[in-house]
Parts: sequence; structure tokens; C-alpha cells
Amino acid sequence: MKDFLLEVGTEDIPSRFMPSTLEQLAARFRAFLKDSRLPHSSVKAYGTHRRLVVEVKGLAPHQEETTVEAKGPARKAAFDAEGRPTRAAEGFARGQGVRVEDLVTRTTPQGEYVFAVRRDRGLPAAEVLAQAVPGLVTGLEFPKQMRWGAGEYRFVRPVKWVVALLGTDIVPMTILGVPSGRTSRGHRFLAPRPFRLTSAGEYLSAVHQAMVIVEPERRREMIHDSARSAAAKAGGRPHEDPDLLEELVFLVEYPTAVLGSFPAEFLELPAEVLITTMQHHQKYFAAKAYEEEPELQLLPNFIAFRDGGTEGLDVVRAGYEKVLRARLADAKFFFDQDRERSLEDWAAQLTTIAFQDKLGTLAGKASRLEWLARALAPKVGLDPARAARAARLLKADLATNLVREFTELQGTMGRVYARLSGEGDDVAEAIFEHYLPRFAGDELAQTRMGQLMSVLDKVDSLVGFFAVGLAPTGSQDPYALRRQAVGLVATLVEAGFPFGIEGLVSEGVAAYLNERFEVVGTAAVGSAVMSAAMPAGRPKPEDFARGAAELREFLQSRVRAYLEEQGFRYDVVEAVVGAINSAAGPGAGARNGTGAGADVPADMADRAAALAAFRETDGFADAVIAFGRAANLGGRSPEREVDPRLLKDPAEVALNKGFQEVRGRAREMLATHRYGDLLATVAQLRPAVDRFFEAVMVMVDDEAVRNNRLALLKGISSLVGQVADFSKLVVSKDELGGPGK
Amino acid sequence: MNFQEMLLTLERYWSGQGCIIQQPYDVEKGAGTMNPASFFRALGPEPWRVAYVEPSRRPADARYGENPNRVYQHHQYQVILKPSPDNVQDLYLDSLKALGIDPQVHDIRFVEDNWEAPTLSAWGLGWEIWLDGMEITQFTYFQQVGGFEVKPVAVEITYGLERIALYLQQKESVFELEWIPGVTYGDIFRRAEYEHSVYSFEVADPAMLRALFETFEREARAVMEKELVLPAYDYVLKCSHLFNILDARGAMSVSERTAYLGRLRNLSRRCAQTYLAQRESMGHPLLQRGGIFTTPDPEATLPETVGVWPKEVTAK
Repeated sequence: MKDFLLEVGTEDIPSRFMPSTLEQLAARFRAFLKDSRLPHSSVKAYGTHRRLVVEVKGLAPHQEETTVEAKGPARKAAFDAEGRPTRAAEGFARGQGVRVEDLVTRTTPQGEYVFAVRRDRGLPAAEVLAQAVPGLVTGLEFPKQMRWGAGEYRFVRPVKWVVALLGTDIVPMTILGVPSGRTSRGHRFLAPRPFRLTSAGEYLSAVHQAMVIVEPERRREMIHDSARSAAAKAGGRPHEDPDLLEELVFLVEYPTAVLGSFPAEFLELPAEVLITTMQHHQKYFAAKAYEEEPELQLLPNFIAFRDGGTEGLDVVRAGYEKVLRARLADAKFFFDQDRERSLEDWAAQLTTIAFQDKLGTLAGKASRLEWLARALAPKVGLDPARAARAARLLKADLATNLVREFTELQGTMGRVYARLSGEGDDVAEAIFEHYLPRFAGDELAQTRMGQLMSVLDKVDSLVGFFAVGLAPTGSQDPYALRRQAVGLVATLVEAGFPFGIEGLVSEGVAAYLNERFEVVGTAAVGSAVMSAAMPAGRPKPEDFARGAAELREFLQSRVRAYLEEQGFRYDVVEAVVGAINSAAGPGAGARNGTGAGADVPADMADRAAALAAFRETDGFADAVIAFGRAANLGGRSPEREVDPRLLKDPAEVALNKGFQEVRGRAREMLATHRYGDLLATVAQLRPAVDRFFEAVMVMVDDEAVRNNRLALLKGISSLVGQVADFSKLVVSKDELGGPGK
Repeated sequence: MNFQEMLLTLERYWSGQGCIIQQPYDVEKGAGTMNPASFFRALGPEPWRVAYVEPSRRPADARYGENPNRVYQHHQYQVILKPSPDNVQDLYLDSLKALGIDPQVHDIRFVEDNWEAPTLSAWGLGWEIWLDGMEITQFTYFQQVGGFEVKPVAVEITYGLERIALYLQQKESVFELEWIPGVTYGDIFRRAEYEHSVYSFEVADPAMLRALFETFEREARAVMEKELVLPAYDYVLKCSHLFNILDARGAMSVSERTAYLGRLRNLSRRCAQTYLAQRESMGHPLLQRGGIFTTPDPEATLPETVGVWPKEVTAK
């Protein structure tokens, strides 16, 4: 058993690519070793931004032996009447490299066939590795690849050296033009001389000696621990940021912490600005006091990480501090300038910022949002005037100097400036929250106003982009519309808003169609000349109609995906989506953003929860069958009142009696969204339904009697049909056979 | 090391790497990439190595000579190496050593940075180089220029000279930088900074700028018809500068701005296309000639060279 080591030295790989690259590398090697029948005791991928490393421990020297069977011609074709092999058999044997007398006959479902059985003794591990490893590396996937030099290769960054050792031997191969050898390199500055490896097994100790901490988890630990001890010297602790930690892990080969400081006067800046400047822009950890009550208290310190040792650390610290001072001075300048005007004044500047080429400016967006806010706020119990105020200011911070410079502070600065401008907390918080969720798994808006603004902003963007023809296709989603749609659905459910997809999209379109473009002539704003002309190429009403149709379908599929992500079974989701009035289409669903229809995501989530709970109760399966039968027979009949005089059989009389008893209560439960109670109540009818089907023939010749029975079934299936389409539910064998069967 | 010594050091260093030392191009431009010695020479199969200082005008960055770090015109030191040599990172680090920046006592990082210049239909991948936390250089492998794939690949190294000088001279403001003993950067440029700021933000007449843009654009197209690609390109550069002033002046609506950018992009694409055809019809003269732009032995620039730069180069 030997160890195999691969080290691919590269120019600096973007740190954000590294975690996935190492995962891929390990997975690809594991799959390859398994497919190649090469037993081994472990596979591990390490690396830094300058090297990708794979270490295979205890690798077998040779592939495992195996037998390979190949199916040949049918026996009838392979042997003649005398049992002598035909030319077909000879040709097949030759092609397979076996003697014709060694062919065997096997019975298959298609009849008797001849087979060639070969023993594959396999190849030495070194040969297999030499063949396969270059492809394992070049097949790695990266978000971006590049070409270099003569331009014939494509990889994440140029490859500089390749070490490939099996035990003490070089495994000969060429990766992207670079031949393998046994020479590696150490830390770029601390140990720049190339060094030779005599065996794979000594790699870790040799590379450590060359000042490279090649294991990511060790670097992570070093950074984490030394950040804490450095911060302790300043009397506090690091403001932890897992993303920054992960980035630093793949930005240094030998991390050394540097504790620095900045003038205390900059602590007047909002904490968000300081943290963004330090952590996002400079990749330093901010330092904070141990106590976080009543609020986060930053210290005038930071902890940065140098890629190197302690030599010249004072010079490095002075450099870090100087850069930070300059950045904070800029931020302070912008912040002070921004504060001289109210947020409302900044909102007036949105005429100069594009929302989207063909959709106009952010000022246009703000006015549409205001219009939507006035229309929809009353439906969620908010004051339309307050909502309109929030909508008007939602995007205002994008015009401020600080946000133009620090775009990631959008929303955050809006909240700060709103408070400084004396806006209410509801408005300030909504400005911050309307961007939520900013990424998969991010928090959702929590305040009612924030939820409404989050919904309106996303609806407006989706309606506009779909009308322009920028709907996401396949994996292409440059405007992150899928994320916006997911965020929209999640927020609608979280908020419990009574808005249906159909209605919301219609409202969004109406806002665009109501927009007016006044040519203001030339209004002087500062020294600039503005015109509020209609943007060239603005979508026409028919574009909005087409976009809206696509968007509805897109959102419906997001709702399905959302419910499934919440853990609801596929058939439960389908049943809920298929409930009466859930389907999209003319006449279906909610109009004008009100919640009467069944395409309301919040309501669908409630119904799914009720149905999933109902599924756990005894008798669920029988109920599905009974109500499914009722729906199949009566579902397509028109709604009409049951005429008691036409009921003859005691079973149908009894069923009608039960139906009339629960109907009123069921309707009330439906109106108050008590779906669990509704299902439980209607389920009580199930024995009567069963008896009805046993005793009564529905499709009789007498039309009046037949229609009356259908009306009864229709009435019953309608009660549950507004919760879910029971015919979509899949009942497993385990679920059958409950009480009553 | 004063500003002038810094320039001379870089000139001498890159000259030693087989680069042609060209001079700044005499038409206004926002970056050294727009110099024909970069934009055109990056295209096509011919090798190329060039280095030059490029005074770069960015009207929107003007600050009346009052901001310590932002200026209307800054200086780039631009290097193009095509094809990109294997040891280009080492070559760059050695140039820092030549400037007296010893990586052993500093923190030098190659931080991912993807460069894109939409008006040039150009993009590339590479890094910004951080020196003790400050970005001092952009380092880009050109993947596409003028809408055409760059093959062989050219690497562009763009030094921000003011930033490096601020660091070397330990100054807080560009205007305090020593250009030669007794004369500061401020002595040379402060008045220009003020005047160009006033002009760009307050005085420039948008109607005239627009009219000039139309005229120059027309001329660029007319000249291109005659396959005079370099004169045509000069007018494209002028259009680009006019656009920058209009932008600084706040005189464009959003859609107007987008439209101007589109027109500039079309012009630069046309130029690139015409240039490629021209070089092809000339038989790619530089491709035929061996022995130019020779790379020194890569091993020679490896670590052994730390601190061995000639005294007269590194002396302050």
C-alpha cells in the first residue's frame, strides 16, 4: 500500500471559489477510485488559494481483478445445426479477445445468447492515475474560467507546477501544459525556494516547514483563535463574521494577526458603516466591547490578517491603519454631507438613477410603489398614508453619497437617514426590511409595513422585468428574479397576507399602466438638467399582458417549490394547488389583490398544513377514497340545491341530513380559514358517504333523481374541494385499512 | 523615493524585461488601456510588450484639488505583456522590490478582481494587488477586447502611481508628494485640478459637448470607411472624453447615458474589427520576426533575486 499525493500549484485562485473546489476535488477522486477498483484507506482534499492538494492514503498498488461479460449474438445465430460456431460467433469472439470455444451460453429474458467472459486483471495504480488525474483536475467547475499565455487552456487561474507522487515515484502526467514532478513551492514570501519531495508521505511536514498551513481547518482555527487573543489585548472581542472568516481562510497561507486602531472620532459613524468598511472593504474584523447591552459598542480597533510572519509587522500595521483612516474619512465626509438634507430631498434625486433601461428611473419605481401602497395598505390593516410615505422613501438612500460609495449599505443607511430625518419607526424599519431576504436563507421582513413594502417592491420588479422579456431561463438569472420571487412567496406566507398571485400581478401591471410621463421641460436640479421623458423601448400594454401571464405561471411554480421546501409531500402540494379556484386562468383566483381566491400563498400554506395534519389521523385513507369518489361523480355537475322530496333510499336521506347539518358550520370554517376543523367536521360524513355508495345507484335513468343525487355529491365534494383536490392525494398501502374497512 | 525616481525606476525595470517604453498618448483618455498601444496591440496573434506612463482624466473624480486622494487627472503606469509570460506574478513582485517595497516586510495580496470596460467591449480576469491593505495595482488577463477574443492572452498591469507614491513617501495627500526635491505634486497640478473641476462641474456647455460628440462620431465613422483606423480611433477617444464631461456635469438622463455608451461601444468594436483586418492584410509583421520581447530566464527572477537590485535604482 502506498500513498498518492497530488499538488497543483496555481496563481491566486479567488477565495470564494475554494470551498466548493475542494469539495469537488475530493468527490471526484472518491468516485474515480471506486469506479477504477482501486481500494484505499482515505481520500482528503486540502488547499490554499495557491495550491489544490489531494492525498490518498493506503492506495492499492494495482486495480482489483474483475470479470467482464459481453453479450454476443443469439445462440441460434452463433452455432449452426451441428453446433459449430458460425462466422458471427467467431467475429464476436475475436472482437472480445477470447477464444471462440470459451464463449458461454446464457438464458436471458430475450432468449438464449452467447457471452464472452473475460477476466480483467486491471492495471497498476500508477498507470490508472497517470491516465485519469489530469481529467479530474481540468473537469473541476468554477463560476469563471480564464485563458492565459498562448490561450489554449482554460482553468480558474494559470497552473504553475504539478507534484504527483505515488510513494516515492513520480506519476507522469501533464496538466494544462505543466508536466508533473516532485518539486513544490513554499509560502510566496516566507519560503520562496522550490523544494523537492522524496515521497508522498512527507508532503504535510515538508509543506508546513515551507510555511504553508495547507489544511483549511487549521488556518480557520488559527485565524479564529488569534483574532480573539488580539482583540482581548484591546479589551474586547472580534465582531464575528463567518463569511469573512471563510474568505480569509482562503486568502492566506500563513495567517498572522495584526491588531490596529483608528481615531476614536470615527466612532460617531453608524456601526453599520464602520463594520462594512472594515469587514467588507478591508477584510479586517471590527472589535467590540464584551458587553453588547444595551447595544453593540464598537472599539476603535480592528484585527487584520497578514499573509506572512511577524517580520515588519509594525510597517504592515501602519499601512492597514492608514488605508482605514482614509476610507473612514471618506465615509465621514459622505455621511455628513448626506445628513445635511432630509431623506425626502434625496428621494427627489432618484430621477437620475436608472431602475432598468426600458422601465425608466427609480423615481418612476417610487411613484408606482406609492400608488400600490395606497391601494393595498387598507387590505392588510395599514394606514394608506403611512404606507405611501414609506413607499416614497424606500429607494431614497440610493441617491445618497454614502450608498453610492458603499452600495451594500442600501436599506441600512435608508433606515439611519430616515430616523435622522424624523421619520417614524414604521417607515424607517420598512426601508431596511423591504430588501429582505437578500440571499437564500436570509431573514424575512418582520414588521407589517416592512412586509408590505417587501412584497410591493418585488412585485413591481418582477412585473417590469417580465414585461421587458428578462424572465429567467434555465440557469440564467442575471437579475436574481428567482430569488425575488422566492422572497415574495415566503414573505406573503410569513405575513399571512390575503393577496393572491393573480391579483398581485394585476395590481403590479396596473401601476405601470397608470404611470404618466410628463415632460417637465427642463427642471434644474443642482447644476443638472433633468427630463422625465418616457424611456425608449418601454414595454407596451400587450408586453405587460404577456409578461404577466408568464409571471403568474412562474410564481405558481415558486409557490409549489416553497411548499415542498416546507416539507409538505408532493401530493399534498398538488392537492392544495388543485383546490377549487386555485388554478390560474381567466375568472379564477383573487381579483384586485383581495384574498377571496384560493391562489393566495398564505392560504395555501394553511391548507397544506391542515391537510398534512389530517393525513396523520385515522380514517384519512378512507376519507380520501370516499370524497374522491364523490368528487369524481359529482365534481362536474352544476351547483344546485338538493330537493329532499326526490330522495328515496334511507342512505341518501341520511347522507343529506348529515350534509345539511355540517354545511353551515363548514362554510363558516372556510370563511375563517379553520381548515383543520373543516376537514375534521366533513370527515364525520364519511360513514354516511360509504353507506350511500353501497346502497344507492347514482346513474339511474330518471334524470331528476340522477341530477338530485349528483347535486348531493357535488355539495359534499365542494365542502372539501375548496381546501384541496382529494383526487390528487396518493394513498399508500400502509395508510389503507384503517377503522371502518 | 520621489515621484520622478519612481517613474524612472519602473521605466528602467520594464525596459529590462524587453518592453518598448512608449510615451503617453496625446489624446485625452480615462485609462491607459485606451492608449492604442494597449487597445489595438492586445488584438490579433502578434506578440507585444510595452510600458508607459498614462496621465488619465476622469472628470467625475475631480474634487477642486481639495480631496487628498481624488483627482481629475491621475497617473497610471501601464504594462502590456503578450503573450502573458509564465512568471508574470514574479516579474510584478520584482518591480515592487525595485521600488523599494520588500514583500518580506509588507503584506502583499492578489485579491480577485474582474475587470470590465463596456465602452471597449473588453473584459478580463485577474486581481487587484493590495499592499498592506491598499489597492495599488490592477492585474488583468485580457480575455476579450473590442468584442474579440484575445489570443494569445495579453496581461495588463496598471500601477496607480499616486497611491504607491503616497505609500513610499508616507504622505497623507497627493498634493504633498515630492515630485523632485523642492517641488511638490501640488505645485504642478493643484491649479489644474481646480480649473478642470470648475470646468467639468460648472462651466462646460452640455449643448456644445453634445454637438462635438455628434461631429466627432461622424468623423470617426467617415475616417473608418477609408480604413484609417488610428485617426478614426482618435475621434473615438475624444467622444469618450466628451461623454465623461457630460457625465460629470450631470447633464445626461439615464436613457441618454445608456444610448451614448452604446454608441461608444459600437465605435470601438468597429475600430477593433478594422484593425484586425488591417494587420492580417499586412501579414502580421511582428509575428514573423523572432527574438523580440525576449523573456529573461524565469528561474533568474525567482527568490534568489531578493534585495539584489542595483543601488542606483533603489536609492532614494
